Amino acid sequence: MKPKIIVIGGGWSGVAAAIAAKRAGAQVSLLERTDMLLGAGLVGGIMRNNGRYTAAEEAIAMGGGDLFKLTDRHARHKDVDFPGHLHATLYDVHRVEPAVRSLLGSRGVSVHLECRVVDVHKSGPRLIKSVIDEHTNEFSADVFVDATGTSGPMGNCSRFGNGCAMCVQRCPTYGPRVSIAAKAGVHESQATKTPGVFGAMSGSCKIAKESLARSVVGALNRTGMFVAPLPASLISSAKLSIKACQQYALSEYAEHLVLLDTGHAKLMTPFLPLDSLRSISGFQRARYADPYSGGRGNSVRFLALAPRDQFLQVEGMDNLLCAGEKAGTLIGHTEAIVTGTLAGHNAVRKALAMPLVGLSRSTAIGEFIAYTNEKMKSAEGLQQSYTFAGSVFFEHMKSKSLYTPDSLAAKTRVKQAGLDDIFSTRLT
Amino acid sequence: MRDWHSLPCVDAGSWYCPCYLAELGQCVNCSLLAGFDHCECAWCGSCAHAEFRWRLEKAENLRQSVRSELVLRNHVSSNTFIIKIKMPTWFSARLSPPGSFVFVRPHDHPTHFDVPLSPAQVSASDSTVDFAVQVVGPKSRALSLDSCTSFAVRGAYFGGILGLNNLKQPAKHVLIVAKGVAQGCAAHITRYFADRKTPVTLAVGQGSSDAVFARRWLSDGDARIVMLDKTDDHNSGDIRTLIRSTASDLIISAGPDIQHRMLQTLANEIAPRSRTAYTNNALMCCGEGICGSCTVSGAAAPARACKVMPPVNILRF
Repeated sequence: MKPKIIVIGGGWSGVAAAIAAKRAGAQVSLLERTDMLLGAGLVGGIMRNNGRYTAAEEAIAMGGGDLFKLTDRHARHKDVDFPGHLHATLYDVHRVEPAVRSLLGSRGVSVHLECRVVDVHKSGPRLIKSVIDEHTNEFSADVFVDATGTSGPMGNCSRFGNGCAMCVQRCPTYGPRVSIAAKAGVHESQATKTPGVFGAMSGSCKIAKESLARSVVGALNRTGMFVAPLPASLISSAKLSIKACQQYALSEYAEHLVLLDTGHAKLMTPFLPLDSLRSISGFQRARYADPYSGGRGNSVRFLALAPRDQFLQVEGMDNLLCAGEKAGTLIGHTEAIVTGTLAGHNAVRKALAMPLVGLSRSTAIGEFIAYTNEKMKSAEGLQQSYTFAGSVFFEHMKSKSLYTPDSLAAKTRVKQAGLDDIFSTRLT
Repeated sequence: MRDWHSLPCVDAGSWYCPCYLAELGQCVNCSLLAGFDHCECAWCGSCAHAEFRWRLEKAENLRQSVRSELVLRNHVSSNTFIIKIKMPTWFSARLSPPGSFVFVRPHDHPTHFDVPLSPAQVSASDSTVDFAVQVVGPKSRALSLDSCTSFAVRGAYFGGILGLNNLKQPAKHVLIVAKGVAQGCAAHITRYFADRKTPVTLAVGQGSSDAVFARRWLSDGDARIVMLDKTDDHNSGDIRTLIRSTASDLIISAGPDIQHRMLQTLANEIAPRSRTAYTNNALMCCGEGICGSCTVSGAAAPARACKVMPPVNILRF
């Protein structure tokens, strides 16, 4: 009898968890509240920049590289250098979701869209029996993965940000996320930017390329990026401190307009008033694609962090794991995919009563999961966000000699740790 | 620390949300407006917290009493009468959906005289609204007097039907069982489905009103009307037969709680897959979730029945 795993939340981490659980031999259902998978991944697009390259290569060597290969195949640009970042791959946000859905279908993952989970039934203080969607359908499983994210809902964006900016999360239409861990009675924590100020704002806006001058679009299509100095009146270093994406909280981003080509023109700032944007040459007719009110604000995140261990098991629960932002103030698709992969794989081990896998700290991924968990325990740690691509963890990664842009070195490291193909090994 | 149980509020997302309860940190739907730190609600399609912030933390669009004039009063039995009232167009339009109700009192009387009334008919052409009223005490008696020709009408309220969501889903056939003064409300519901070309069987009995009068608001073809035997207090045999013969997927009880209880039992037994709805018989005084007269238990927490719509399957009449 195959173990039954339910993953709640169809963002990158949930998709990765579903694929990993399936590869490990489970029967897997993925429940997503909207009509599309990938959540914030529908408007992201940046892969393999800085230490993410190492993480992607390690994940591939561990047998958990399906989604990295997929985003490579759907890249608009490869090997892009932009301020503070090297060798980025920019995937096409318009093409990647159908490809992911097709991959899940071919692997036999049962995907339930427009299926918003709103409650949890427990069979004991530490055991979830089933989850309930808003239409009162009940989904039972042996083990659950909470990949519901931490951004929004609107009440949080209203309270801690500048209100609902009508972003790709589409809370008004599909209803807000509901935390599975919190519903199960787990006490969650919230990140603070400074003491008493909760959450962090998503760090980029997307501009419809069609609304930009030909010269800007040409540069984006050709090189994947466009950088222009900002007029002095628009330079605001204060905005850097509210960003969730601290790898882009560099002075270059306060003093320049930095755009990347992900299908949209991705503007690397949380928000910028439209009239200010239109005062810049080449942007006179600009309009936002995500969030629609990118002149006013952006989504607020990191407001529902689950306590967890190095195996990504949620503390206080015996059959609940977590991934992506639920597992810490983690930034980015790569970070979501690697935590999702570990959570999905360990969910199957849990269901089979096998020892859980902890990734060695001799790998960048293992160090990332362990290091961020240590940091989550302190108030200071909750003021930081963590990514392979920059800020504190990338520095830490370099100091531990874990950063390498060499695929072979990453592969060798994984093999030496005895983790090669661990995620592609069937357990049942 | 009290626990948070978000309850679906019938006013959530309406013109009247956020309300007094938000100002007081007592919202039943939004955890933030109830004084909790986390964000959780029974999602209605809009965010009460965001609206509250937009309105500078004031409940702005509160219901007012509107002076409205009598068009006609028609006594249909010794204890039951119908009043047709001319109302502002914006107000009558808000009473069109089933489940709407208002509080009505003689215009020169204090608010103690407010009577909760559901419309029997809303006429868009002349902005009049018909109400059926049964005299059961001093408040309804005051409305019945010929000297009362001008009213103070407060509304619109929306929680007049328990299981309102069940009415909003498409149905193949609707069975409405109506007795007494609830025939008025039943006629309004029948018209709602007739306008949507949904077949309706309306079973009517005179009940304590001593008259059958629902037909006056209906046209030929709106519904198949079945008269219930007036010598049988409960008509359980008739209703059992109707549930079977109509194969209705939506069954609505308009009448007293004893009828609700019987219909709920029969529906569970004969047609467990059908949806049900019931006229809300809780004692309504303020309609704003404040006075507590309509408090019911049975949901996750005690709830004001004027605001909160518990799922009908947990209701005990």
